[in-house]
Amino acid sequence: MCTTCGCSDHTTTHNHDDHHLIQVEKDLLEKNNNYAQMNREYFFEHNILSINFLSSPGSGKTTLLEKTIDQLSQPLCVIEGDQQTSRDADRIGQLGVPVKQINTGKGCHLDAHMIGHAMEALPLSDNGLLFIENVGNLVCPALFDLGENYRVVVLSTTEGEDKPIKYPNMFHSADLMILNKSDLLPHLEFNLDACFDNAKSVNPNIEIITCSALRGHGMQDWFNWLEKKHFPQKKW
Amino acid sequence: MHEISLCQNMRHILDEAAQENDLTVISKVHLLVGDLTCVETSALEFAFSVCMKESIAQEAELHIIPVEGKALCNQCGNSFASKHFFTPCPRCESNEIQIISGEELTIQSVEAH
Ligand SMILES: Nc1nc2c(ncn2[C@@H]2O[C@H](COP(=O)(O)OP(=O)(O)OP(=O)(O)O)[C@@H](O)[C@H]2O)c(=O)[nH]1
Ligand SMILES: [Mg+2]
Ligand SMILES: [Zn+2]
Repeated sequence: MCTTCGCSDHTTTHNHDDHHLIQVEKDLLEKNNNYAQMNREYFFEHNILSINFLSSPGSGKTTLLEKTIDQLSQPLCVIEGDQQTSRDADRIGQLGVPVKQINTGKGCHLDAHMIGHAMEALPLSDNGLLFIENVGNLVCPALFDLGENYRVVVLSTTEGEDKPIKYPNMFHSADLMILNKSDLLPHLEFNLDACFDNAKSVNPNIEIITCSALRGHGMQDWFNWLEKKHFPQKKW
Repeated sequence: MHEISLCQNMRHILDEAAQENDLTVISKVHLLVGDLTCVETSALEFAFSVCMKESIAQEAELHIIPVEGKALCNQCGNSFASKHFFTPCPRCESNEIQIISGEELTIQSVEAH
């Protein structure tokens, strides 16, 4: 039925006196989703484990990556997304890991097209890993599929236990929540159970790991998670 | 401001639709926006007016059609309206729910002269 005039003309184009109504039926994210699918296929063909790290600014994503790089023996590349500067890429580059910085400028998120180009610039190895640190923002990046195998949302204890329900889209779309900065818990009034309940309520399937990237507590759980997801790589 | 990127995408889609259908001016865009998306209607309207400048849809009116969030309970099969991702099933109180609508960001149709 025509939503404008209520007529029952089902053809794609029809006239009402002076206007045509043209059915379009196109998703605004279609282009991004197509690029994401290309990335996804590349990852699958090359058995690359790709992870999209998302969080608000300063939760500890780059610190987590630095500590993880120290532990890994598999070939790894990193894509860093920030509005400005190459500070995070410099930090990763110092560890001898190939890294590509994407500055989004006025944009607030990475998209699948940017990732495709960044991948061209990186020496991705078969059976390796690709870590993507998204722009610090709990809203916008949730919308944009990059073709990643897993979405990891990093929440830090100083942000409060209500973030999963305040930013439900992000936590709803994540596979794993890392609760970082656990070393600060003794100094805070942070209710761990409430935080986990909040995360589970927006996403019953979400996995949760509590750790301190800085001090090391709980990091083994994270390394085990990575190991488990990487071998053998499954079709997603 | 992901609304800006969404409207830039919209501009491309409208250009393509105009080419395919030989349109010269688009006067109205009917857009489905799910209640569960993190899209702000006022921001979207603002972004639309900015992004459509000097395009085929520069004079177009944006008609936003909200789509109610709906979920399906995986435990008892109940389907129910949901304003959030975290509404438990009103019948059995299970959290094991699946969103079945409310995530749309779709250009449904356009009007042209
Ligand atoms: N106490 C504590 N501080 C941490 C931990 N992890 C990171 N930090 C500190 O948090 C601050 C931000 O860390 P980054 O790793 O730069 O955070 P980020 O998420 O990459 O930040 P952006 O990329 O700017 O969004 C730094 O001062 C880190 O030392 C942790 O586990 N415990
Ligand atoms: Mg960082
Ligand atoms: Zn139920």
